[in-house]
Amino acid sequence: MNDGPKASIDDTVMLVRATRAGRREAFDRLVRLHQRRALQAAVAILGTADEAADAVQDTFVKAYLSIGKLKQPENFGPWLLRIVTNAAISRARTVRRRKDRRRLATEAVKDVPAQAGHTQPTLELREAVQVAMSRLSSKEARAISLFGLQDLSHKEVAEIMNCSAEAARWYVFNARKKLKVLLKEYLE
Amino acid sequence: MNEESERLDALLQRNAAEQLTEVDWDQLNAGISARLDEAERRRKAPVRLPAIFKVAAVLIAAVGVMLTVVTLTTRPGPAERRHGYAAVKILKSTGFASVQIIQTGPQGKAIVDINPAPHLSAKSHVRILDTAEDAARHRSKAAWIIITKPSEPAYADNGFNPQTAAMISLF
Repeated sequence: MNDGPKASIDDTVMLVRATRAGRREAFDRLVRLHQRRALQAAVAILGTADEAADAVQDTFVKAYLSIGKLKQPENFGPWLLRIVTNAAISRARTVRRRKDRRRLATEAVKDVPAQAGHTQPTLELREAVQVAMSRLSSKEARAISLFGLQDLSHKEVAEIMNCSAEAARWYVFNARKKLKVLLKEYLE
Repeated sequence: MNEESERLDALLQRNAAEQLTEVDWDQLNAGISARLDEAERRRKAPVRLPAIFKVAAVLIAAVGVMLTVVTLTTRPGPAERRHGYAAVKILKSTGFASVQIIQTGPQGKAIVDINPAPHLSAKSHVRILDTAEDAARHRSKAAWIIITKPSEPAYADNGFNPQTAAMISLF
């Protein structure tokens, strides 16, 4: 698996400045440095990699077009996570509406056909997580997905969410409380 | 964090991690690159206005041209100026007063500025004459008499070319 190199602050700052100077290849490198974390956050919210990949594409286009508005290049990582969680939450709403229309909510999960290399329980879990995450408020979904990126501190999560650390903890607490009920059968 | 919360976090982590192992990063990169190319192309493309804006712009331009033509063709010429139809604009006073003729003709309108008194405006008969000699004959009929002297164009500008500019004298 080629999931890209790790991003250092210095590299990121240099590449952000080069992108602002009009060097597109610099942004391509930023994509490779940050795509894994962006996708990880999007998968946590959307529950599936396919939907998350679309959200990540939207994210990088938006970041590219508005990189001039980023005040501090060293904040590119948190700034990108803010964009990707927003994009994922927006897409989650769309997915939920689509599923509601097709009546493919939790009850229909059992009808998902098994795909090559995937067991039925795995697919069920994915679908169940997707549905459960869509039941959270946008702040709860964002908070628990960012806490899922294990190297982020409470303070960093709070900064990305533009709230206090206490508020971020509260959103995580509520998210867990709801998810425990919604995913009860998978926790036993 | 209690045991149930730990199990939940582990479940979410496992679900995300399993899916990340299946991601085709090259395909994702190619998708992002294509989207960026498209965004860049759109950003550089010239803005295309809807057809209605183009029609409106042409109409506005046509009206502008018509107004210009009408204004120029109805403006009085030098010959008319001497007969009392020309507009006269004062650029420089004679030192103690200045006059601005708003409207010429038998019922002309003029604004007279007598420093340091504040601006006064009044309606008055205005005559435009060619020589100072003519002024004596018309003094009783007009409060202000204007004498044109095409040879001294530096004192005033009647809106036409300098050769036909008029000097204004107050009596």
